[in-house]
This record gives sequence, structure tokens and C-alpha cells, in this order.
Amino acid sequence: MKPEGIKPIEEILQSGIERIADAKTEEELNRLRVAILGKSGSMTALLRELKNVSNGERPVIGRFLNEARETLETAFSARERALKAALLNERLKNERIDITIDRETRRVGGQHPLYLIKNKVTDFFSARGFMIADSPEIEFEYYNFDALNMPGDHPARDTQDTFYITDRILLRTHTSPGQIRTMEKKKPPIRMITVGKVYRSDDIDATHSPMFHQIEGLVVDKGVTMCDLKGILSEFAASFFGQGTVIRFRPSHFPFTEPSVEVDATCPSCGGSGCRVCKGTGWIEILGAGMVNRRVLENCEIDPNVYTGFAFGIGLDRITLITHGISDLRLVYENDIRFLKQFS
Amino acid sequence: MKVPLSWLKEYVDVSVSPNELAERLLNIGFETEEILDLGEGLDGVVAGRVTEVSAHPKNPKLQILTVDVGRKKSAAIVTAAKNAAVGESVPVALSGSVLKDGKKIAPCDFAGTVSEGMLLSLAELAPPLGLLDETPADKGGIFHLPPETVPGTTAKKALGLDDCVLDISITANRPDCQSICGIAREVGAALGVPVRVPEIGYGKKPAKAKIPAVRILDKSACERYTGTLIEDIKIQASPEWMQRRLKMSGIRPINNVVDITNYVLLEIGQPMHAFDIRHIDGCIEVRHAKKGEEIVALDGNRYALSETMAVIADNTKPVAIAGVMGGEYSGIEPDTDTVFLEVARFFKGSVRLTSRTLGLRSDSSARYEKGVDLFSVEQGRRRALHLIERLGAGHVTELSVEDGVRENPSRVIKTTPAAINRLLGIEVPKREMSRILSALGFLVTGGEEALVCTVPPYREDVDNYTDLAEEIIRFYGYDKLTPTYMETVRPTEGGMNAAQKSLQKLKELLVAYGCREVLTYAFIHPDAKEKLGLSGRSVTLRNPLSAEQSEMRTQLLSSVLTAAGFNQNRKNGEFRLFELARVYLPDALPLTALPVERERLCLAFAGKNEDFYTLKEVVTAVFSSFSLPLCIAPTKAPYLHPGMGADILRGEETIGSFGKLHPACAAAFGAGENLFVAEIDLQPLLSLPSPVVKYVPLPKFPAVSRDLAIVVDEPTTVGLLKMTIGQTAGSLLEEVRLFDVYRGGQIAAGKKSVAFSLRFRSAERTLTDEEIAAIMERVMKKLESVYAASLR
Repeated sequence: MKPEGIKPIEEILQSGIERIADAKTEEELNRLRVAILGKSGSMTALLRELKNVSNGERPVIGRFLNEARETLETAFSARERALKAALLNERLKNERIDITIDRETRRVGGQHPLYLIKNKVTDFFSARGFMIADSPEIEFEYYNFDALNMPGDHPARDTQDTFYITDRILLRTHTSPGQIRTMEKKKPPIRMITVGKVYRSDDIDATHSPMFHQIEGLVVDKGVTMCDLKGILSEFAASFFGQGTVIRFRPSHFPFTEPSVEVDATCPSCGGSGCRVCKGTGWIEILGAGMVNRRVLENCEIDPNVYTGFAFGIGLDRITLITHGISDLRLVYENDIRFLKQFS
Repeated sequence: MKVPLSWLKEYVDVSVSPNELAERLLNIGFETEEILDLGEGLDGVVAGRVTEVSAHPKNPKLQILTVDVGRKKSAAIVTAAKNAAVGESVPVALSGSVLKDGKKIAPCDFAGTVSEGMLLSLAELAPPLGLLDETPADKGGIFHLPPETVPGTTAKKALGLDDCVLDISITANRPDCQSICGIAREVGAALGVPVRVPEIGYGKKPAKAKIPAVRILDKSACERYTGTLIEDIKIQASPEWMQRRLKMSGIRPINNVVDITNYVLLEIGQPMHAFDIRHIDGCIEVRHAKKGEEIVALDGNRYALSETMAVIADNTKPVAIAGVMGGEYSGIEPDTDTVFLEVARFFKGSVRLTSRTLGLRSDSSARYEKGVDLFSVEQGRRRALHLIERLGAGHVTELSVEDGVRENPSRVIKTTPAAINRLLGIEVPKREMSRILSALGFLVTGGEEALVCTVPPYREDVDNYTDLAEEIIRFYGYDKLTPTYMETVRPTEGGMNAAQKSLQKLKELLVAYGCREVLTYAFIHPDAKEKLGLSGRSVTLRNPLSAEQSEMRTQLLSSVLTAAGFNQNRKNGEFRLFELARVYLPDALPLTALPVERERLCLAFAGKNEDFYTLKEVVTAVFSSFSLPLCIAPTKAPYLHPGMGADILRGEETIGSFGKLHPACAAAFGAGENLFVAEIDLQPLLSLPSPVVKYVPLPKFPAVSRDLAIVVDEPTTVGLLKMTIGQTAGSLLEEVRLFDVYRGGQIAAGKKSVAFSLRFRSAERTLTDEEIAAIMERVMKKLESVYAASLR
């Protein structure tokens, strides 16, 4: 049998819960809190009357009173949170912007497309232990020709192809002098690439420019083979032009390598079935390579009976055109921002 | 090298199609640039014999020809041409054929009579290389085939156009393949079939005349010189087959003697020259030209010779420029009776130098420049004499002369299959090596472990075992090389060095600041630096393509300004451009040492939001990226606006400048006036050691901020005020920041209000208001005394 004193508590609790739920604002809720749980609140009044309750009933009523109070406080907190959340949601509902508007702020710039391709190539070789060497663009004839096994009567030395400054100093016609400069300073094991501007006396047209860019690679150590050359170039082609790219070697001739090869990759445009880019052959020529000529090693005081090596040279301009489908090399050197913006 | 397939087939059996042959040649290092099909557009054209000619019933301008087209068929052809008579052979394009110009032949109704094809003129046959000639009988429109042609024969066959010409590019190391016989040797080895050699036999008759003695004086130009006397020359046209082969190779037939020399040039690769003996006075010498000597060459031009050039001279005059061209009287005339046939080896370097210096080229010089060997001298000589006899062009006499080296000792390369395989990385069996090398004319001996090869005399390019390795893998197949990954190569440290990394980092920084990289030519017009008001030594090219590309730049600005102007003219008016490239700075001229190549940075900003300060922000960031403060002074750079530019100092040295472009420079480069530019030498920055950052404890005590607004005279710079504040406020001052510069309103003319925010902090304690007030007062007093500043 419930003691008589429980009933008013139940009534306050009952009506309190209902009124809390009905409270529409935080102010209303606070007023209600004061009315029930405040100093002169209805629940507080009952607490004060507890001293008049008989000793036998007091613990029961007291406990009930405390539980009721806690229940109400929990309800007040929950309602308060709900009202706050509703208020926030209401505010956020009205805070709306047009997210489709673009503000005219400064954009990020970009590197030149040819140098972006350069980065891609140097990243590949850097990660495989190739140091990046610097080499002068204005070069002695010796480094550009003689040391590379291109003696005095070699046709490439003709002024039709080479820009001369004096009888002995010229603009390098390829990055291969970088091989000699590296091997003079450093002994095997050598893995290096060198990138830069090279110059030949060609009028500018869709595929030629008097200044263009090459990437030279060189590996020299004991036991380097032509299969190693094929290995790294296969990997490079797949990395640069995409997985599934296959290369082939074709015999060719460079004075500074023996044997020498031209390297073709399956056309990145058609995958080898033949298209306009590869002129229907399915192959595109990407670089020249070979085993370092014994005389070149000897010129650098590296014993060709102990060491072998390979070298390769990539036309950076050419692979830039191929990669991006650029039809005219002149665009690369014209620096029209509308062109440059397309690549970054 | 133009190779008519039919000529090649004379020396090697080619069982594969022209395309397949080109593919095989590619695999052994010879790229076919073009295959010219001589019979292109003649697929449906056959030989027909006219059996009846009748008038057209309605149109008097037309005739109806009945033509036997073989296989017991005949065709009715309506034609306006009247030059075909009964019994004559004519080319008939039957219905369904497509001519070279794309014209499709279909049955066609001519006023009620259907024509079943078309008779072709020379223009419609369209033979390439001028291979067919018109005779008077063909003038009326219809071309005539040889009279005995069997009806139904394809026109290609009847006209000898069932052939093609391969244009093959030959690499510089293979001069021996600049000939039909040389290509035949390679094709034979590639197809595994034997190669035939040209007939070179001839008889010698007693001579009536004397032959000039021969001496080589210039051994650096000529290794061997031979001469043979040929008498009773009968100048006439060479036979049709020879003319045709010359035409296919792009050489115009002249007469039998000249054609023979050209024929042997193509077939054996040996140039030769036929002198009319009447114009040789005494002995023949191969010598340097004398100073002041001149010659009128066969092309009719007079050439001044120099002592670097070799000539063929008689007792009184030069009669030919060695290897390049004969003199005007040396040529063959219709009445030539006796010929001195010169066959020699002139060295390629000598011929090239002479040819370039004189600006005179010939088929002979072009061939000599690539290199002729002693083997081809003898082969060529005998082949030419054989052909002279065979064609009845003259009597080869027993008189011949020679000087120089007859043949070089044969070269023997001793190596091992193992050495070759070590280079290649695969195991090519010894017997394969022997097979390939033997097919190429090498004499191979040695047991299983050794490879001893005698090099054929025409392979002067083969010198050591790596050359043999190339010969072997060329034919064994590069596709047999299996990719490997340098398993035996010792590891190395890769990547960029510190300077290269700094440059790359700098590029990324500039890109983040909205700058776009340009790439311009390193050679410029010599006027460019003057346009910027700069001077100094620069490297000049001896043989530039043009003045615009004749000087190696000593600054980047002119190039970047050109790019800027280019874009402004195309209405791309808003940009931040940068170029990071080398300049070339010579120590002394003419160059004896290489010039210094230094990395420079150039910036050019344009657009409505750009000004000196937006540029300065980026320049400051550049220096921050090298952990350096930006130290500046008013600019002395002639290309900058004198009041809106700054020089960048590093110690005493100016390492760059930036600011607003001088209006005169803007005009000189066709760029707009509001350009803000910078040029900075990066080299001093790249060589700096990159400092390791040491941690500084974070502040424990709060900062106190005070604002200070003062009025000063207009010329007083913010920089000076800041410096004075910093020096006066002492060590508790953490930062001074400018937040406002104001003119007008209550500020008197010629004055400006400058407002700073000062932040103080102590590492040991919280600062008191009294301390700060004292410092602020000290600062203000100082500003009053130095700059006559007043508190605003």
C-alpha cells in the first residue's frame, strides 16, 4: 500500500513531464524549472514538508521524492538540448549561400608542359638510383665530339648542323657530353641522367627547333649487358606511356655506342594497331641507345675490358608532343598562356 | 639510297614482297622511307590490239575502235583520239579500273554507243620518274605500246612498270651499303640466300696513244688513284635498260660513257670520272690547289681554289676538283675519241671540306663524303671497263696507271663467343655466330671457345668484338634479348643534388603563387640587352640562323618580356610569368675558357590586381624559401622605373632587381606599361648550406600589443621608421607590423599618417603596463627627434 505522501509527488512529476514536453522556448523551460525545482517551486515545497512525515514513511517518500526530482532534471536537460538543436537548425536553415558562384581569386600557376614531362622522366630514373648530373650547354668540341668517338671528319661536326662560337667551343648538339663529364669525375658504379637544352642549326618548323631538349642516361659497371638496357627501357616505357607498352630494338648507328639501337614503343595512341600518330605502323620511335663504345670508356680512363655500360638519349620535345598530342613544336616555345594553361 | 627492286634482284633472289623486304631490312638496321610502286594506278589496264576502226554513227568527232584485249575477248571503245590504227598495240583501261588520278572507268554511253573502257594517253598512264617518253605517234592522244605486245598482257608488264623503287636510308657507319651490291649483300644475309657478284671481266687492246703518268702528292686527300686509257670511243645513247635504271635512281641519262660511270656509281658505289685525253697536258698529279688557282667546273661556274683543297692537275692547270667535279674541258664531247678513266679513293673529310667550302655538290662528292673503300675502287674500275666493252662504247687498252695503296692488309679480330655474349646478356650459340658472320662475308675460324674473324675489305666500320656483337645480334634478332634488371650492378644513390632540389622547390613555390612557367630560346638578338639599358660581354655564335638568334643571353628579362608582349597582344593581359634558366657569362672574349652558366629567375606580372607590392610579396617568398630575408635598396637598374624599383642586396653585392618596368623598355619590347618584373641571380642562393632548424621553446607568457599612429613627412619611408622602432624598443619588442598609411583628410599636405602595431613579450614574466608605456614613450621621442614625427 502506497503511503499517502506519494500521491502529490506523482502529480507534480506527471504534470511536470507534460509541461516540459510542451515548453516551446528556453525561457518557458527556465520558468517551468523555477516553478517546480526552484527555491519556492512545487517540488521543493514537498521536500520541505518531508520533516512532517512520520518516521516510518519518511525514507520511502524521501527516496521517491529524490527519484522524481532526478527524472525531472533529466527531462529538463533533454528538452533544453532539443530546443537548442531546433533553434540552431532553424538558424542554419536560413543561412544559405549560392555555392555555384566562382569568386575571381588568383589561381595556382603551372610549370611548362615540357618541364612537367621532364619531371616525370627524372622521377622515374631518380627512384632507380640514377643521379642527376648538370653539364654545360656551351661546350668544348672535345666533349661534344672527340671524346664521343666523333673524330674530325665526322659529318655531324659540320657547321650545317652545329652552332660554333670559336674553332674549339660550340653549343652542345646533344646531352652526351654529360656522359664524358660524369665519367671523368666519377668511376663505376655509375648511374646518371642529365637533362637540358641542346642546339642544332635547324630552322624551326612543326617538328624541329634550333634549341630543343634531351635526356641522357648512362650506366657503367662490371657486367652491364644489353639485356639490362632492354630491361630498364621496357620499364620506363611502361611507366611513361602506360602499362602494356612494349618496346622493340632496331639496329642503328651512333658513334658513341656499339651496338647501337633505335628504340620504338607501341603507339600510346592506338596501342599498336596503327593510327595517324604512328603513321599506321603501330610503333613510335622514342629514343636512341646502345652499349657505350669502348673508345668512349677509354677516353674517360675506364678500362673497357673490366667495365661495360649502356647509354640512351631521349628527345624530350618529341615525347612531350606525343604525350599531349601537340601537332606543332612551335607552340611549345611560343608561350601563349592559353596553351600553357592546358597542362596544369 | 634509291634501290630499284629489279636491279637488286639481279644480284640476290628476293622471294618476298616489297613490304616484307622493307620489314626485313628494318630489322637489320635499314629503314625504308618510301616504296615507290612504278605501276601505281595501272591495275586494270591491259594491252589491247586494235582490230577495227569505224566512224561513230551519230557523232563525226568520235570513232569506235574494236580492241582485242586478250583471252578471246574484245572491247568496243569510243574515243575522240584518231592516232590509233588497226594492228597497233594500245593501253586499255577496262571498266572497273581506277587510274592514278582517282578516275574510275565505267561503261559510258556516247550518243547511243556504249564504250567499254578507255584508251590511255601518256598523261593518264602517269609513269613516275619520267620513265616513259612520248613518240610522235603518241601525239594524237593515245599512247602506243611496243608493237609485238600480246593482247591481254598487263600494261605494267608491257611498259616495264611492274617494278618498284625502295628509298632506303643508310646509317653513317655503312658507306658500303650506298650501292646496289652492298644492299644485296645485306639482303642475302637476311633472307639466307646466296648473293651474285657483277661481271667484271674485259679484254685489253694495244693502245695507239700514250697514257699520262700519275702521282699522288697529297696523301691526306687521296689514298689510291688509277687511270685507264680507253680509245675509239663511240659516243651514243646508252641502252634502254641502263637509262631506265638510272632514271629510277634519279639520275638523268646523258650518253653511254657518262651513263656507265653513273651506273657503276650506283651499282658498286664507286664514283669515277672520264676525262677527254685531249685536255690533259702531260702528267697527272693529285695535289693541293695552289694559292690563287681557279677552275671553271663542268657546271660552268668559276671557283677560286684554296690550299686546303685537292685537285687533279696536269702540267699546266687543275683539270678537276678531286672527288667533286671535273673542269669545263674535262667532260665528254660528241667527238671524244680517247678517254682517261679516273677511279680513285679520295678521303671523305677532304671531299666534304672542299665541297662545303665551294658550295659545290655533285653525285660524286655526295658519295665520297660518305666514304669509299679500296675494294670498291678496284671493283668499280673493272665493272666500268666491262660495261664499256659490253656496250661497245670504246676499246679498253692495256695502258693503265696507278699510284697509292692497292689494298689494306686484311683485319683479323680475335675474340670469344663468351665475350660477345657477356656484352649482349644472352647465350648466342657459336655456330649461329659463325653462320651470321660467314653470310656477311667474314672468314670465321677458331674452335668452340674462340672466334677469329677476318673482316671483309669493304667493312671498314668493323674494328673490335663489339662490332661483331652488333653484326651478330642484328641478324640473330634484337627481340631475342630478354629484359633483365641490372642484377650485377652495384647500388648507387640517385636523385637530385641540393641545388637541383632548391630549384625544383622554387618552381613549386612560384606555381603556388600563381606564376606560370615559360620556356624561351637561350639565344637572342644582340640588341636585346641594349634595349634594357644593359651592357657587358656576351657570347656570340659564329654561324647563327639569324640575328634574332645570334647571342647567348646574359639576362632572361628580354626573353620573358617578349613572351609577355606576345600574350598582351593576344589579349591574354593578366598573368604572372616566370622563367628559370641559365645565362652565359664569359670572362673574356674571344672565348678560350667556357663561360660561366648561372641559374637566373625572371618574373613578369601584369593585370589589374598587380602592383609593386604583389611582386614584392613573391620576391620575399623566394628569399624565404632559401631561409633568407629580402634586403633591398632603391634600384639602379636601367630597365626599372627609377621610383618604383628595388635592388636586391646580398652583402655588398646586388644579386637582382625588381619593380615596375621602365616605360621606355616596355615600348621597346612591345609590352604594356603596367608590367612588374624581377630578375634574380640564383647562383649565390643555390650554394648556401641549408640550415638545420633548431627548436625555440614556445612562449609561456602573454604578449602585449600597442598601436602607434604618427604623422611624418612624405619622403620618410616605412622601412626607416620600422628600423628605428626596432632599434629603440629593445629586446622586448617581438614584432612591428604596418597596418595603415593614410594621406589627406586632417593630414597636412606633404605629410602622411603611418600606423604600426607593436607586439611585446618577455620569455620570463608577464609585462606590466608601466614597462610598456615607458618603451612606447622612448620610441615616440626617438621618432620625434629623428623624423620630426608627431603622434596622430
